[in-house]
Amino acid sequence: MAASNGKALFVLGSSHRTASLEVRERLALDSSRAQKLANELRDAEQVDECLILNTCNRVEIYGVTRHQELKVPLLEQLSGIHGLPISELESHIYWMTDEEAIRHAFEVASGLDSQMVGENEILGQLKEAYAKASDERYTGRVLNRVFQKSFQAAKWVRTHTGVSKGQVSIGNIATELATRVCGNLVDTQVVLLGTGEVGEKTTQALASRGAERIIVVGRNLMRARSLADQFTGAVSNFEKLPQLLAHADVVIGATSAPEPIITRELLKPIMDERMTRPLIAIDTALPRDIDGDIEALENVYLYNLDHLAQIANENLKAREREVETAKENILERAKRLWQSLH
Amino acid sequence: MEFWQDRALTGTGCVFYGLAFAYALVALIRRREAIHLVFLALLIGGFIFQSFGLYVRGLEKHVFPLTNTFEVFQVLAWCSVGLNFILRQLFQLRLLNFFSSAFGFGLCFISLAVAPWDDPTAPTNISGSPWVGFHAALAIFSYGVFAVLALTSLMYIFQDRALARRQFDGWFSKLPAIRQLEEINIKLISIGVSLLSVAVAIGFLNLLQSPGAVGAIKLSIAMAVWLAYLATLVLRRKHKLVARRFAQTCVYLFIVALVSLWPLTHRSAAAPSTVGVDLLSNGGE
Repeated sequence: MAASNGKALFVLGSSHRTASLEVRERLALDSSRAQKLANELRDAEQVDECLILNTCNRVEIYGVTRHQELKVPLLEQLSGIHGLPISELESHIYWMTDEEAIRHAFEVASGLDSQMVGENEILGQLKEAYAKASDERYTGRVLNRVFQKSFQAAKWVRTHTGVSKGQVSIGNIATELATRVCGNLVDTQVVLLGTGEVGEKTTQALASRGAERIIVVGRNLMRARSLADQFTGAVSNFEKLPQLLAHADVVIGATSAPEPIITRELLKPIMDERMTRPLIAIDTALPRDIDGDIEALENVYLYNLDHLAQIANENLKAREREVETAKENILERAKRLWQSLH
Repeated sequence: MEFWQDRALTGTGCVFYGLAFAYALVALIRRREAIHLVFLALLIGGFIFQSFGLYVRGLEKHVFPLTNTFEVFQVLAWCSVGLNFILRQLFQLRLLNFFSSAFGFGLCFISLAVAPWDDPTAPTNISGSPWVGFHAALAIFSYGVFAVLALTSLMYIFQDRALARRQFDGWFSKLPAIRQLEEINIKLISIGVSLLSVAVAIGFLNLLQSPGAVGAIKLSIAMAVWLAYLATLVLRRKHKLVARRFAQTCVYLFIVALVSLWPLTHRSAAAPSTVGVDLLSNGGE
């Protein structure tokens, strides 16, 4: 079957679905190699139109060709670029043509084929790849329509389904929780206990949503300072913890202490003093930094790693439930576009 | 019944409120974004029809429409929906429109469904003195503020419960932040108590001029509601009643205040007939 004038639309790719991280690293094309490949394909008149999408999770070559058997020469070309035998390459790639290729492009643009279902980053990457290919005049009538329609499909999926809704990373979930308690994060006082990785990422997420007043509390003040510098925050030691908690809106536990640092006995008199200001406590440490008993205190909202993981799983499941609805619509759209192309 | 009659107009307003509420509710249940313009058009439509209905009622009776339980409930719904439009813009409170549409619909529906509440023969307690009319209007407006306070308190309780139970559904994540709701609740109770205090003061002066015009039970109920709200405000200002307990108190208090409206208006209806205030002429009768 052909798109028009005997031309076939195809996609050859490798993604997280077919290749491990190590293989994807080897298959990655930097911009100069992608450009070189596109030029070679065009110069050899193997393709009439071409677009190369290269992200951390996928490498895909979309094209329009007159050659019915382009897969093998393309594989040979890739094999030469990456220095991988064709037999090995073949086990990590997928090849789709015509309507199936259109459907795949729509699913990629909508984030349905992403490792983190519903993520938005891929749409930006695809738009960028399209803009680049279009500027270089690598795209033509068929690919222009396919990708313009794929952006429309992505917009529909994001607007009309819940595939992009609900946070699925610990940092973003913590940020959303903090927003639901504190509202605007600009005036929010964040206290990070320790320099653990999850705590650091959570603080980064809060900072990216506007939190400016960040204090890193640590035993090793050098390490605390180097972390605080990332957020242009301040540094303090654990002796000042009661005073810091009296003014904190968000406290994040990320130490490797064997016993809880924030206990009910410590927090109760502080909360009695502050009364009207809610406190959100996010414990990313194992063993826990924040005693579970503090949850019973008025105006305190506590979340530990289990809670955050549970929320992430629920959101992910909710997204996956929406995938079917999105895929049905995409299938219809792909069919309509395919029919209009030939 | 002709369309341009007051009950038909307020009934149409009620239908619009109901449609707005149902439209937003379906979108929330289906986890879809409601088209804000459609929802707002329905809510504003309901408000316009209800305003027109109350206006026609006022013209017919030549008094501010607060002469029976039906009218009191209608004006209360009208006040709270109207206030919602202002507060929504001032404080950017998400979902307040949704809660207001539910409240407006509920109150209008009950007032229309209970036919005896709209007693056309009920004598008005709003006498020839414009101060009595002002007192009644101010009091019901303060109840409107308390109604919105009850709605924002309800939103607080939902958000608090959702956070405590780690519920992350689309519906809960749309609620305003705890801190924002706490701040607006303090403002609302301060405004409501101030208005009601002025209304009570005017009512007290009226009572001095015409002793016996208001029965002891009505007076006791009215004073109890005012004192309860005043006490809640004082406790909140002193940080003795905060967070969830403050929100719960505001909701319970409003339920009590709402229920107390029936004996208040019932007692008014039993009071001796007085001449209404002609709102359209300068001098009244």
